[in-house]
Amino acid sequence: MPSMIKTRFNHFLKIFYRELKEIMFHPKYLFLIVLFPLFSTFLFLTMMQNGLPQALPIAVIDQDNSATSRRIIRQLDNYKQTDVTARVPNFQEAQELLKKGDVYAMLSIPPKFEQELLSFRQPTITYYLNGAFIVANSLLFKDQKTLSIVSNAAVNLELRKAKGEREEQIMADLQPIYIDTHALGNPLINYAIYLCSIILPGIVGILIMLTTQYTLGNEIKRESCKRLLSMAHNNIRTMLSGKMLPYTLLYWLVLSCIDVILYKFMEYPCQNGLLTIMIGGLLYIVACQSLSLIIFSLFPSMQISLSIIALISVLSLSMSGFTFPVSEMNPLLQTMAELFPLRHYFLFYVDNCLNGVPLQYSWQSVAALIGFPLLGLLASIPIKNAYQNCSK
Amino acid sequence: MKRRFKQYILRILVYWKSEWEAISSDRALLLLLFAAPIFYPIIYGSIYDNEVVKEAELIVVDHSQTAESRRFCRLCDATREVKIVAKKENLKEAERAIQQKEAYGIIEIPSDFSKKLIEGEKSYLTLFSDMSSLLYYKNYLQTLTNVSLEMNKEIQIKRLNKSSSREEDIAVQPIIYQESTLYNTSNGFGSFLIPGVIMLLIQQTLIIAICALNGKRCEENTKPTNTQQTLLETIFSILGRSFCYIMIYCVLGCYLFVVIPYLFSLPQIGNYWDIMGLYLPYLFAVVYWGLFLSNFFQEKEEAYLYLVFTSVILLFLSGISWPVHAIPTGWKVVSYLIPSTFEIQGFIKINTMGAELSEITWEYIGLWLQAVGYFALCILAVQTKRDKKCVRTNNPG
Repeated sequence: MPSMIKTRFNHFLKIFYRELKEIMFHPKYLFLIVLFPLFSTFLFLTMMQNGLPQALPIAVIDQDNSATSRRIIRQLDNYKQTDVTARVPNFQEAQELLKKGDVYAMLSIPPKFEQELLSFRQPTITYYLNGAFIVANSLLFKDQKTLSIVSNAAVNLELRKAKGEREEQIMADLQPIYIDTHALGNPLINYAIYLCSIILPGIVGILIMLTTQYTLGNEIKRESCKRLLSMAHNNIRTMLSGKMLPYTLLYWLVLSCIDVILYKFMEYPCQNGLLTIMIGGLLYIVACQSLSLIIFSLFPSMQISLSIIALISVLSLSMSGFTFPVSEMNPLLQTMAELFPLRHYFLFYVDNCLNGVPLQYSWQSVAALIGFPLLGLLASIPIKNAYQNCSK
Repeated sequence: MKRRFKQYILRILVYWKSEWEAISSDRALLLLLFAAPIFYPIIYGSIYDNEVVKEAELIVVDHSQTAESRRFCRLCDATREVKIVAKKENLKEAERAIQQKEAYGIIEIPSDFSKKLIEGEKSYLTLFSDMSSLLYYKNYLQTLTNVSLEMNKEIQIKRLNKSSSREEDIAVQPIIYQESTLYNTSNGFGSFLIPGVIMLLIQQTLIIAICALNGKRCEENTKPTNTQQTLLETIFSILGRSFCYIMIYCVLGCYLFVVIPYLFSLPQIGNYWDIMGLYLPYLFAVVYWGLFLSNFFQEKEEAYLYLVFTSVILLFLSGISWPVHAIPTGWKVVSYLIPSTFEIQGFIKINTMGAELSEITWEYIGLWLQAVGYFALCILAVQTKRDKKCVRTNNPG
């Protein structure tokens, strides 16, 4: 019995080395495994180097042009996310700028604003936001909300100070209930942290699935599959593990490098430690490979299965629920989301990096990620058939 | 002269036809060029069909247990954005519930909440939010801010003891701030993302298909552009092939711009002629870009391997999600080389914001320049690669 295991292991090693040689001698794999993931990391990190977008341009329609209206505009301009770049005389011109994409919002101060304010006639300031660009919109919304509280308070403060009231008393009066927010695990609400931590593994996942598909299909295409199977003495599991493991290890290495960059150099939150997320990454990579194996076993031609895996893998970013939560999708899609490894990796990431909950709480995502290779075992039978029946 | 012109047209038609025959006999290409543009938008539409997060689950830890604190919770629960699912004794229990995904946020009301309010002091409420989705956080923050503003107003009015309600109102809020969201009025996620995704889908399926077909021809040695071709013949072949793809995507365009927005009731206030007017240079730019890129592909599978993952990157470079103004200049320059950048920006401005073609000249001219530029590059690539053959990199190892 042990000798059988030993011979199997020898077969496995032979195939493992053959695959490693394959990877070394084709520059294609250098791109797929190393250069594309690292390029993507470089791109996203440089693009979002400032965390949240800052100084978003807005237009101001100041029809009053008084000391008070100018003070309010200055105040808004001082906020980090807002940059008043245009002052226009009327709504039409502001809307043109909005449509051209030069500004994301416009603030309109009515004529006789100061006069009405001082005579207690409650003038109205209107803030127009652009719903077509959601991220910019919600950032500007926050500044606008602060402005409305602050400017009202400022007016109130002056009026009541004139009546001789104490300043602390007035401030407590103005905002009796104050909301103190704690974003668990991402205290700065840094959008970049959120995006990079999932998009980059997402891109790596796309590349893994495509590579797996290609390397399996290529054996059939160049008619070397029978020889490969005979190297494993017709044991499909030995063959598949020998063929897949080099990619597992290399991709894991690359994903771990990305983890080090994100969580060590960029100091993104990683509550349960780097090792935990790296292990999650390994499970994720194996799950992606297994999903790709399953798809490969379902379709006869490599180009069709490549097209299918391309469509599925790109979809995984949306289905993971990191932008729009899965719980808000319809029940059918909620079930479908379980079929995407990235979904489970994302849940694992939230638990272990952002929330830092004890590991046992993420047993479900771990179990799901392990489930993929178990299902992948089923796929080995049709793959064996396909490999046996390929010509030569 | 007339006869020669007729002959030219005929040559273009020959290439057009042979491209169509190559596509229609390849199931993988049909999948990419027809099934993907038809079904992908439906899947995306369904994913974002709810548009916004409603009734985000929130847990209350009320140490105060007074009429005021209960009123605060009731007001939160009454909104569309937030739903209070449980009350817990202490923060520990609440955190456990969060870890079990019963809710995504906790609001903690201190024991001296009412006392401070009555004494005219400031009272702090604490919100803890799970960051597994920014949309939950946004809902909590928005709702709690609005509810606190409303209660603040009530409390201030009580403290001020003004005689008339109008007077109260002015004293509390001298300036009225009105906010109005234009175009995508509900701030819906689908309405914001789907137009961009559709446009990107068009580009990605097209370039992958074109590159895959060229790779296939390279493997089979049946390239339409061969070594002894004259410049004129190269131009005809490029024109003929491009017309084939443009024909297919003009038909698909009707589906993507009319049926899909209708099915998922996406905002659409633009003029169809303006949409088509921008779409045409986009198709030219994408097809010639694809034909240019295809010269570098010698194997059909390479198209999938090298191009699929760029979809994620190009969506971000287009500036639909990450604001254009926050993209560093270097990447902005790179993004100008890609047709989807101009088209996504231009399309959103026409389709969602109701701009006219004359208002988006930057994008419109950008696309035509790309079309012309990539067309020239196509010719150059074919003409300079004359003597090079497709090398089969795929020897059995």
